[in-house]
Amino acid sequence: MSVDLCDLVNRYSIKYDHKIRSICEPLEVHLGIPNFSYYSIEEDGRFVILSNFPEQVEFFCANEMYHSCPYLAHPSLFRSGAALIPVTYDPMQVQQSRKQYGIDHLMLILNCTANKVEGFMFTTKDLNVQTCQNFIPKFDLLNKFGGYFKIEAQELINRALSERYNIKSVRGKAFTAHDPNLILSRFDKTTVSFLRQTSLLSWQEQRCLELYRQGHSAQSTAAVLGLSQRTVEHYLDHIKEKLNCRSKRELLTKG
Amino acid sequence: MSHELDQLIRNYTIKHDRKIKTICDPLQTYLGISTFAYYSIEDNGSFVIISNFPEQLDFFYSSHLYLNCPYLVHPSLFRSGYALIPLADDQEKVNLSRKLYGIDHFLLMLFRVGNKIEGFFFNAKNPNDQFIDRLDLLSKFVNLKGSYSQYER
Repeated sequence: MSVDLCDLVNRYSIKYDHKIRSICEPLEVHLGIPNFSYYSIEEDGRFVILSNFPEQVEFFCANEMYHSCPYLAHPSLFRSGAALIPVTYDPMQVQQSRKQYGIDHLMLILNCTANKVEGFMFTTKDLNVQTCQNFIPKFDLLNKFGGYFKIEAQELINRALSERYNIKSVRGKAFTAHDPNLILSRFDKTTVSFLRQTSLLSWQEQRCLELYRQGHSAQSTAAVLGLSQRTVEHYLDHIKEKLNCRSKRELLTKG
Repeated sequence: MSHELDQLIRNYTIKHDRKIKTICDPLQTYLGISTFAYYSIEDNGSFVIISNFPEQLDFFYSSHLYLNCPYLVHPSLFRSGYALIPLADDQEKVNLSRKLYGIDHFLLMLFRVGNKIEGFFFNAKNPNDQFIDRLDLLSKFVNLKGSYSQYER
């Protein structure tokens, strides 16, 4: 058992159980979703997980399921989106989770930026491949809830992030290993091809725009992408033209 | 079918069939989504619909399914969001559509923009297909983050 991760669960999800449950109450009351977990991984591996169902997270940590969870990896490996995933990638442990908690799948909504990935996990006892369609009408509201949770739990999240919990040191090489077949992988060939064909912007332009939206200047975007500042400015001008924006400021909302 | 709706289908969906199919091609190629339709309704009732599957659209109108479709109403009645909806309330017609075109449900993305509402319908012929892990890509396809960045809830 990893002392670190169990300690994280004890010191946050269990200790602040009452607060977390109270933030998550609207989920169960209005949308019928009793279980929620939030996690965040920074590019240096700093990790936080909070849940209104600490028993299940404890089970996850005590059984070292994080070793086989491909979503607990470097932020650059993912794209934002949603996916129905098993609670663990070990079929025996899935069975055990089903038996113990009635849970075998969860709905994961990933929110990615260049240096951070945040996961919002929702689950109900009957969630599976068939019933996950019931989440579609709630999808918009679940995204909103994710934003609400982050605001309400900001203090806890910041405190946990400032401590020593590090998923990179726990997972070792697996932290940066990418599986292009994983749902929400940034390198999934189908997704990359689809986006290339349907986007007005080239791949490089998309990356410039993404960094610009994250608050990078042309100079720091150039540094991240290994380009000259002039090239980045040239890209941004092109993007403005393609998206019919009058100013760079307008790029923050269009694209 | 009303003459106006018939004209709308003929003048746009059928006449520009090739262009529409080309635009929708990545949906089929990469995501296995065979049917796409777009519609918009303004608060004065102005209506537009285009689809990459004119036969199915024709069926929708010639069977008068639009008369009972709860989504073809005033824009103020809806919020933006997603829904998985049956093709019609009439089970017999749903069965017929399934038999003829392999279609009985749609994923609907609805956006309120100013005084109008815009809807995007997607359908995959495989009934086991899931839309959840493609919502993000479909949103990008309809340019959600561009034109719809300011949509109202």
